[in-house]
Amino acid sequence: MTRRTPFLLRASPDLLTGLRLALAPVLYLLIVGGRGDAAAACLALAMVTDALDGPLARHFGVASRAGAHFDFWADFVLIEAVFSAFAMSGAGPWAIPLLTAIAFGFFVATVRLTPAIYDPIGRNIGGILMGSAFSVLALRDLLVAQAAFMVALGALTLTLCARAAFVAGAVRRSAP
Amino acid sequence: MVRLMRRILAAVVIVLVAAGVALAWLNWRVHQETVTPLETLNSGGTAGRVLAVLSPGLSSFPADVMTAFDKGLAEKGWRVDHTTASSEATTDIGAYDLIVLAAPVYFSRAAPPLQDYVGRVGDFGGKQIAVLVTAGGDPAEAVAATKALIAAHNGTLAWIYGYAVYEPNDPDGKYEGSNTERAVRMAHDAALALAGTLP
Repeated sequence: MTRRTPFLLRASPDLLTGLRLALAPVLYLLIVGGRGDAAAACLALAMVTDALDGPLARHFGVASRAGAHFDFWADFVLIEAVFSAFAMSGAGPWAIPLLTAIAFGFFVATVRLTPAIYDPIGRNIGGILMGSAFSVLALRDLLVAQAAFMVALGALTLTLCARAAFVAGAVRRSAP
Repeated sequence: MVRLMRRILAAVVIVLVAAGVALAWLNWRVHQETVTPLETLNSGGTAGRVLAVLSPGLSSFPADVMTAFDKGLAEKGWRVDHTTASSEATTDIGAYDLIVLAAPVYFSRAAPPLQDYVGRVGDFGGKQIAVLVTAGGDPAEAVAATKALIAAHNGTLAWIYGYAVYEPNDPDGKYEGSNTERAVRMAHDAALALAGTLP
């Protein structure tokens, strides 16, 4: 006879993802308000939830397509909030939230065309962007911040180009 | 598990290499001077004459803060000659009553072009100097280093303040808007207050 996993444990991946989503507006306000230390702590917490929700879902056998979508959108909202706050502060470029929206939108639109491509940047783009933002908030040096923004812009550009190339290849292969 | 580790390692290596290249390029970039012609604000001002020298840096924040400061002085009747810190910026400061220096802070020091400009002036001859620095975090170390730089070049520090992007500029909540908007308003009001105290 097997014991059923308690509801709270089964729900923990979604709760962690929900917590990350709830942290997005908090992070926006903290960054625009100049509370870099509190924002770094909040972002670190969000990154921990991002690292844990997937493994927990698999561990408790509750991994699902809906959960993966929830995780994807929570990452998107969090990253948009953080980089929009940097841009609102006049410290970061608007190009990052703009390119993030384009990249995530492009991914959603083309995911059925390219389900199994290997793109180390694209697969980790959320982590790369969150890591860049965390280095800005934790180190709080304007030169480091600019380097982090360049890394974020470069990663977004590379992953968009890679995905566009894969999509073009998939479309060409499927053409009669 | 091995595949996952290889993916994470690939992403980490790519990010580290990209960050290294970006930092090297930016370090070269912040040493580059921006040359702009001398522009005058409130050319009919009679209260005094100001030379404002800005090292613009990599974002708009230092320029926003300095522009607000210059406008504050102009509103008090000062004539403000504005330029950027470069080898072409005037070092003939004899005609000015106040020198305003502004720069972003990188690794706890004011941007190299501003330090180079101060070096080119050499001796400020006891002139009144106001300094605005903009930092990511706590600007205290940069403020202390800039004070020492001004003192070493025989300048009389009339006023110095460090504004931050990721530290609260206005903990008392006197101003409204984002942290950087508050910094801009504070710089404007600081100029109004300073203009009233200078001889």
